[in-house]
Amino acid sequence: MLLIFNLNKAIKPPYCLKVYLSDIPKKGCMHLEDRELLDLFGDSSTKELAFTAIIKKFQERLYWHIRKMVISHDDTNDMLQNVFIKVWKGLENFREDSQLYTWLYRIATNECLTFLEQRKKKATMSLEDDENGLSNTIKADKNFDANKLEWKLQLAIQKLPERQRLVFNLRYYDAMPYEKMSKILETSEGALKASYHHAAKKIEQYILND
Amino acid sequence: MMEMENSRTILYKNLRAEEQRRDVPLPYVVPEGYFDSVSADIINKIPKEKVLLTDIKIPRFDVPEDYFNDLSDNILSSINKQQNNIEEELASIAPVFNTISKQLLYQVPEGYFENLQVDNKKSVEVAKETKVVSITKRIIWLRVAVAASIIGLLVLGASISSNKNSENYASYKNVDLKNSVKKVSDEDLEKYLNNDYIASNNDMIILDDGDAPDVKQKIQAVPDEDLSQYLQETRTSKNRKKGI
Repeated sequence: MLLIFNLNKAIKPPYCLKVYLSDIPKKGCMHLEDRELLDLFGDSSTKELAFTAIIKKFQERLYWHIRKMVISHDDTNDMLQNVFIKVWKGLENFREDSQLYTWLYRIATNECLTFLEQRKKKATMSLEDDENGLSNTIKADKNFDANKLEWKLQLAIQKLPERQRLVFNLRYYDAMPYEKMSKILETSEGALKASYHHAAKKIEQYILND
Repeated sequence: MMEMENSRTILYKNLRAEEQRRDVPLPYVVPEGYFDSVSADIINKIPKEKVLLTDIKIPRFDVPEDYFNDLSDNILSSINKQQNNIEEELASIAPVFNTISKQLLYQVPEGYFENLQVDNKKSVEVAKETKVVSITKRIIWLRVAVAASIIGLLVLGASISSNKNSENYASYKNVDLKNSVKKVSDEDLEKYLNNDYIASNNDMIILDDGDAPDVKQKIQAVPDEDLSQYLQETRTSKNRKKGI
């Protein structure tokens, strides 16, 4: 089945996007621009297909963003599901003055912070240390090797406060510019730079002394 | 020169003859003698134009040596500049990172991303917006106090029950609360709080009014709001674990 969507009615010189609906599940629409995906999502006949395409396009980036914060795959999977459910519910009202990617990251980040906050509360109730909980999850990994620097780095990152950990992960692993990070975390660039600086210092101290 | 002039004259005469043979003559008029002199006029102009061109100073645009050889490298270098900035920034803060690979060692189940599906019809309860509620110190302390009092009562109750024959109640004062509490699982706490506690492997025994007459009073002293909040939180986290 061939559908032709006129995406930019009367605003710009009209152009047509040809989408073979039967091809989307096989090939995905990862090549489509966010604007095109949003237009497809706005059409009830292609809403679910567009949503599937959005999941496929962003799932890995969001998965790793969450996984680095909560460590466990099962928790990450639960949260990733919740993130996309919220996306499904909120996408129609998505304000296009921010990038889709930024918006998704912001939802995932809030989800992480909420999850970690609840975890901390629970740990307080049981008089345990939540920080140790995450470290224990790392140590329980079947590939964990205490002598490997990469694992030591993971343990050191878990010692950081949540927001500092977020900043460090986004900068160190995702090479995200401060400007973009500032939009996701709604924090000034100066504060983010300082946060990253402190985080890197703390990690270095942990690795060298522990 | 004479030969050329003759040829030109012959050509002109032929053209005129051809023109005259046409049924409809061309409407345009050529000045008399134009063709006789046009070639000479053109030739006379050429040397003058040459002089004019040489008079104009055309600026010479220089290209730096090896510019085109280095162009691709320079462009790639600009692209990598941002990445390098990040690495330089980190190297200046904490050089130890130079010795660590960025590779993440966590594993993802095989085929996870290929098979990932989101059930967008999942219950509204799970999907509803979770808010990051800022907790004031007062509330944290209140919660800790509530939890501590409940846990204390449980441990005290357990101790009373297990030693009720000895009647040595003075020893209860020396109970190591922290260690005893650690032995109590979250599940047992939750069951107790839900009033459906059944003795499990832990050293806890069902409390009744006879064993600890002041327990009910102490629990009653805890505000209902705090208790229900605690129960709600433990229930939500439990449900989340079960995937409800």
